[in-house]
Amino acid sequence: MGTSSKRLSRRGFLELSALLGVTAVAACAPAPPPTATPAPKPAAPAPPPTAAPKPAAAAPTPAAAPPTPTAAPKPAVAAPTPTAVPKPAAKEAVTVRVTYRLTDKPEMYERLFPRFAQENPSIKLVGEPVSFGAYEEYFAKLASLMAADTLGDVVWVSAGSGPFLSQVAKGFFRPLEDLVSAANYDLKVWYPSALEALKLGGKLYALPSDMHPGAQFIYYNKKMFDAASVKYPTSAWTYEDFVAVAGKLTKRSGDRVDVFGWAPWTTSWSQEIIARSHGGSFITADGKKSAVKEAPVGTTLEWLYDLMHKHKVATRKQDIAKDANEMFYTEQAGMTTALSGFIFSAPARIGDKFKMGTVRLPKGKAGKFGGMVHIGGQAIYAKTKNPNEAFKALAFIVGLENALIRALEVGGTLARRDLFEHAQLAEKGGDNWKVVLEAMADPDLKPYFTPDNFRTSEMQSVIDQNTDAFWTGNQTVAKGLDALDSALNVVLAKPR
Amino acid sequence: MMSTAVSVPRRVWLTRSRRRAIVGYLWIMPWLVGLVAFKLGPTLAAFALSFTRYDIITTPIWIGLENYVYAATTDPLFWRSLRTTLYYVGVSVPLGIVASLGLSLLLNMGKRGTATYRTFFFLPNLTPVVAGAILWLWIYHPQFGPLNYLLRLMGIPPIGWLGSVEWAVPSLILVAFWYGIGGSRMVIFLAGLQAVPNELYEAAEVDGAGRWARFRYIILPMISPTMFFNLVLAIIVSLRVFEVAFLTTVGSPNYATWFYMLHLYQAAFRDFDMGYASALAWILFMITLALTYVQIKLSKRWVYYEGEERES
Repeated sequence: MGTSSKRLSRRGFLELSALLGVTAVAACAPAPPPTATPAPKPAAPAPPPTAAPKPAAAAPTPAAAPPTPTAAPKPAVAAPTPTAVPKPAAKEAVTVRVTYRLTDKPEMYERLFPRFAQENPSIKLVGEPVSFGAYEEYFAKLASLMAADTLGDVVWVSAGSGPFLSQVAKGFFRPLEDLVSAANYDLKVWYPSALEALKLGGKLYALPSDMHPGAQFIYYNKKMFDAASVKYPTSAWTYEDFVAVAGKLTKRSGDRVDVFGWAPWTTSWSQEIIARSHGGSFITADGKKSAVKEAPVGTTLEWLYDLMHKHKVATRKQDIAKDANEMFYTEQAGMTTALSGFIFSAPARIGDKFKMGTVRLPKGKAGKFGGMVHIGGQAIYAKTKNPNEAFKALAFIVGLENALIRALEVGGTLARRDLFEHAQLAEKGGDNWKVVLEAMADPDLKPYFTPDNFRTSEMQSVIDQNTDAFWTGNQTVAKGLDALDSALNVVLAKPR
Repeated sequence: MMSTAVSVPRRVWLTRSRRRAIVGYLWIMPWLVGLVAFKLGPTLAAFALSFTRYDIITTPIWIGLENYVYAATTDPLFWRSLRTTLYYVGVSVPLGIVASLGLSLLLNMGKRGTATYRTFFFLPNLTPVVAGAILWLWIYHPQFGPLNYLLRLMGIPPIGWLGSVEWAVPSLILVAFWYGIGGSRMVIFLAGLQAVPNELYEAAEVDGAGRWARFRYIILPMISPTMFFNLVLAIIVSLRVFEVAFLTTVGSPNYATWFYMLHLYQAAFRDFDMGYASALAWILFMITLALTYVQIKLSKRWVYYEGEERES
């Protein structure tokens, strides 16, 4: 046929489809790893930490560094120990990928990146935020990145309920000692309890990030205390005093409670704080067995149960929605439990309604306060090709300037002494902040309650769900303790 | 213009019918690739992983039937979550089916404003699950929620709703009811009702049949295939109840809302027991398959297809 047709023949269509398909597949191929570029020049040691400004006169300085907590040493690990070797000279900048959790102010994390680039032209920082919407979401994504070998060089981790220590034990993060000494980095800037919480088998695997000493703080409504002619609590108060104070703050109409004395947190890690003050824990020291049938835990659970169901001065599970603190903001509870950051976040919710005071939970039968290190950290991926540059970036990220931005804008406090004692935080937190500083300097502040098999989240869930029966009043502590004990032992017996 | 024609022997394997088949397969290729890559592949991979201990980041270790044995004999939450889920299915499915059918019957009456009502009833179904969950958290709020406010007005003590062991599952059933009553189930029922021939109603009316008789002897048999379809789908969907519980209660209080899918999710993404989670997924798949099979078998007794002849 002599007529030229512009219609696509079937064969032509197939050829075109095949071509497009190949192109599409090629386009989907993974990009070359960004860290493959040779290092530009011998790695310079990381800069010494930013000099700490003088603490404000009002902020008390801890008398001495808290001694290292005496938790049982964690087992040895199979982590590789690459050494910090200076790189040969090259032209292009080394890319360091920073995987971090996406909080409510994502731009804040990367705000100082340009300054880092100015000071370190041979290193390019690339931020890779990961959603932290649901708690598990971040860690699931991290695990996927590890499985695909695409994790960033510097990674935000959680040594609390997150799976960091388990991943360390499996060799996914590198120890930092060689990098610390190569960079002549001064670890004294950190609270020792924070560093201890990031160690496994005696080795340090992350530099501390956000830290708080646990749910040991009681926040109280000064206006309600004044109205009930109750003296503000001090650190000398006892658990019996607590019950009496909560009783005086409680207001009733008939059987119905209109205002509760206390809106407590009932999470496992809040209960653990009280148990620690009585000299115990939900798990044994080696983290292999349940210890809920020992006296300190029983005392803790009975005390909480009585406040809710016998004295009826504390909120039960069914009295609150998701957040017990709501009851405090709305003056339906005179006291509440919260973390140290509450000092900075609560005033926005309270407004001019009342002034808030802070006190630690009382000392328990062991004669000490309960406390537990909750900590995040910045770790270095074991497979990073540029450990020196990654450490330089890490040291910058946890530096005072970044820490101060975080603390003042979001409320998270890095475990730096020079941050906790900083004049701006002291001014913003006032007398309440002094209580936090006291808790941070407490020598009894111990690491998180991590089981030997690292199944922390699972363990916490078992404690939370089983003790719910106490907080709803569906079961007494005496009757429910066996079930809690056996359910906890099932989790603790699981493999790592 | 003359051209020297060289006769090339045709490749006999590429016959016209084969070419057609190849073209056909190429057309459905995007769907096939999707099916294999995102459905069939992961399903089969999950089956293989269910015989392993696997934490995503290290190599799976073959452990045979251990995961299945653990579920059946040791895991206290396996049977508990299954019971809670079956309770949820047992209440939410009949309730939802009856309510959706009722609504579609009302809409089928052809009164003024039917289209507006239809849209109105469909709205909850269009609400994103997260937004719906937040809305219901507020409705159920023990102190400030409108439900307890109404109860107080009537002199009834407030209820703990999501924070109460007794009320948590009924509260979530109510949420599901709100979501599902006017959704696609209602639309499918409506389509079924509109397919019932008018002559049947007219004949029944002539015979003096009342409203109930028309419903019992005409509507129900005529829409029984639609009912069957909705029932099968509703059971499958309810067995997979997850989002609302995950967003509102996370299984609390005291495991009251610890549904099977929540258990599976926690095993997979909180505990990184991917092998065990895969086993749980396959067990649920087998349960769903068995329930569907039973329904298909039972359907022969109550589902009528137009023109179908039955042995008496």
